[in-house]
Amino acid sequence: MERAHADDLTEVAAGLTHSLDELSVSVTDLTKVFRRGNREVTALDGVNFTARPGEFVTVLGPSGCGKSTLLHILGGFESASTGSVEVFGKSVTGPGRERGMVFQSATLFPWWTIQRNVAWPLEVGGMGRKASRARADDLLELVGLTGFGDAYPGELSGGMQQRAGIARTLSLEPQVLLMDEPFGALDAQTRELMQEELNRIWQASGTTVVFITHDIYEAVFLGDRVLVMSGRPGRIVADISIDLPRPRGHDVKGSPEFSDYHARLWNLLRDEAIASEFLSRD
Amino acid sequence: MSEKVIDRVTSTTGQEPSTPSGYRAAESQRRWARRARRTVAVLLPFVVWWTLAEIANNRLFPGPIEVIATLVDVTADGTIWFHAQQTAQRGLTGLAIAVVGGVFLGVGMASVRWMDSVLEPLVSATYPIPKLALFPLLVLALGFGAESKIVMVTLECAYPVILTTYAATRGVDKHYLWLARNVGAGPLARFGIIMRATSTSMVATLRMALPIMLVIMVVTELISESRGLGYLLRRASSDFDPELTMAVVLLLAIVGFVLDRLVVLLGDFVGRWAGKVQL
Amino acid sequence: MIDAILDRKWLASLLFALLLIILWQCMDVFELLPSYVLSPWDILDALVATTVDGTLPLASVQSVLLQLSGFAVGAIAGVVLGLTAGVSRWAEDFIDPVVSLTYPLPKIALFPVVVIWFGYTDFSRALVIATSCFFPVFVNAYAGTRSIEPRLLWVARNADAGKARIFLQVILRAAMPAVSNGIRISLALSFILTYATETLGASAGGLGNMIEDGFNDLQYGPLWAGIVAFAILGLVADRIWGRLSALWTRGQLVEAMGRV
Repeated sequence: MERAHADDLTEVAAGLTHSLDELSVSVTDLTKVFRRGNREVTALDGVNFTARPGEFVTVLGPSGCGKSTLLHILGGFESASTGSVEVFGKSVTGPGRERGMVFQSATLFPWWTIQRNVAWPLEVGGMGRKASRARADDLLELVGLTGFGDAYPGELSGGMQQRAGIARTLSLEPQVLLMDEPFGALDAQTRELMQEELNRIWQASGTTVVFITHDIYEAVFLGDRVLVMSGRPGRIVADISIDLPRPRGHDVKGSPEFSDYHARLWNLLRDEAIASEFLSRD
Repeated sequence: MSEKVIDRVTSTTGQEPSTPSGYRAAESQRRWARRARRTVAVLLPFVVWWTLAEIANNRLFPGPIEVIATLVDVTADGTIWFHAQQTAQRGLTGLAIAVVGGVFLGVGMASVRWMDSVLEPLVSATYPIPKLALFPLLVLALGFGAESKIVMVTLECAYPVILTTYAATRGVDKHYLWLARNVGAGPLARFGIIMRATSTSMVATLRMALPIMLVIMVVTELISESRGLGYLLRRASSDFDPELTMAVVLLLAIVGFVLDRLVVLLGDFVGRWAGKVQL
Repeated sequence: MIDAILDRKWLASLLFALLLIILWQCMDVFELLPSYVLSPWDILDALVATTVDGTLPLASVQSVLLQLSGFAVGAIAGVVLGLTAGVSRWAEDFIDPVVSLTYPLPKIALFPVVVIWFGYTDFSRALVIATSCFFPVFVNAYAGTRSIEPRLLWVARNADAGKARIFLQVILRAAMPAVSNGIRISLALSFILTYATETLGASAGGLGNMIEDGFNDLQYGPLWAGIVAFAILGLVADRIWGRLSALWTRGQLVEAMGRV
């Protein structure tokens, strides 16, 4: 396991591709301790990673390893016990519009139409009603929901709701997109479709993405890099670059390279998964 | 969910003390502050009542001490027991009939097609009608005694029981019933499954029906009776005896509170039986 | 044929109700009914008669005014305090214990006490109706505010929405179905209490008094007319509220019943 120092990586990143000398996401020695009554549970123990602007980072780990906690801390909804979390050089102290969250369920406001849901963050940001709705329609087109703006969330399927949820988060024009197993609740076919869609949307928007999943296929298919997390207490045990050509289509999943990545990750994850299987029984 | 909404809305991360001991100290301090506020909240109305009564110094507005003393007196000399017993006996009889009948009707409507079609819309439509207005007719038919009151309580309490039983039964996972059929269980066994699966919402229904029962008992006894707590209220009021009137109100509050707690206890018990921890 | 009828639930129950009414009328024809049970036809007759002589409309207006004033005060107080307690821990700590303690008391029992101070007046009546109506609305508004999906608040915080906006556009909207349910229960309760308080004490006016007078004077026409008027008012009020609340709970799941 390599623990790269943020400073080193900054140099590397700056030297390689971007003229920006700042990292998109930088997490240093992050720990999180929960208190349950008198007991203390260490959810995250010394997590270090960075992401370059525009990079798609997937975080892969067994259930209960603290992946979601990591994302919630990045989003500013939970606080770190120790360590630092920076996004574009700014320390994270609370939620912010530059970090857009997408949850496992779409969490749309059920009392508004899809269009109003997508337009709402823009309204909050001070945009006029007409302009925000026009922009919402553009975003709905981007996620393939043209013509569904007047529907209520309850009238749409799970996959369509999640598309709308992504559109709403994109309306924040976030620098970093934080996605917490967004396709975990969808059926297998819809999930594959949504993965391809997300690839397309991400390439169009150019934001940094931190994407949490427990699905190896999903992690490899989507990610520029896959961070593998251990079971509780969560820490990053591997950082693997996925050198598959972009744009990636469905056929990538059948390639020998893809299978190699999958096998490698499964070997890494196997022991962690077995451990967490028995750990989660308490 | 014990956290409050706005607290969650406003709490910014980072305010939380990062050391465990600091966290624990802050937590216990917060808990004590809550307990103190809640105690004050319970005592405050009594203090205000007492102060107002002292200021008014009027025979028609007795303070809490006089009222509690009166309640102790009438409890000690036994007069109130007779009336309380009368009210409880009739009220609980009516409630029991409502629950048993309501459960059978509700399960029937949910599982028998013609009962569903014929009865469900009728029950739903007549639910918001104030059935209490039928009380004079019940008195004409059954007299001023216990029967008219029991029927009145049954009539008002049965509605929520029927409708929640109906909804709960329809919500039972079909697979349980299919499994029961698959292993050849008879209708009685299937009824048992429905009872077990809906038991927690039944207790919730009982908790709804209980205050209705009390209201109906008090109202019907206020209107026409020579026994029961409602009668005692009316007599004390027309005798301009505010101390006794308020003492009866206090007793009713206590009875209502105790009955409600008993149902919650029953809920715990039933919850364990049904294999769910709820309520 | 029977299948087709059973498929349309309202039709089946309507036919059933019609059957009952016809049976009822037949019992009258064969003189099987006691004198105080009027036939459907006689009830219609009584309704027309009391409407023509003006007693029924007058009594209805008196009852509705009383019911509305008590209901409005109680419901508004319930919504305001329920939302406040749901949103602020301080308010919750002061309001919730008092409400939990007084909640199981049948509020009609306060009527004899209030009467000692204010007499058998409409003020006493409205006061008791308002007190009764407060509780279901409070309990449901409070529970509705507390049980809001926390992720919805995260979404709002992610968009950097201010406190006032979160309250008005998220918390209030999320609590709407529960509030609606509470108000619906209070509405039904307000009619029960209107009847009860109008029946007690002379010179009350209103439908309750009309029924009581009919009972005492063995005038079964006005007695039945009053009962039917109460039924219609209760039904119509419930329907109106159902339609109204459907407007602002669009898209949301409304549970069949809240807590009474």
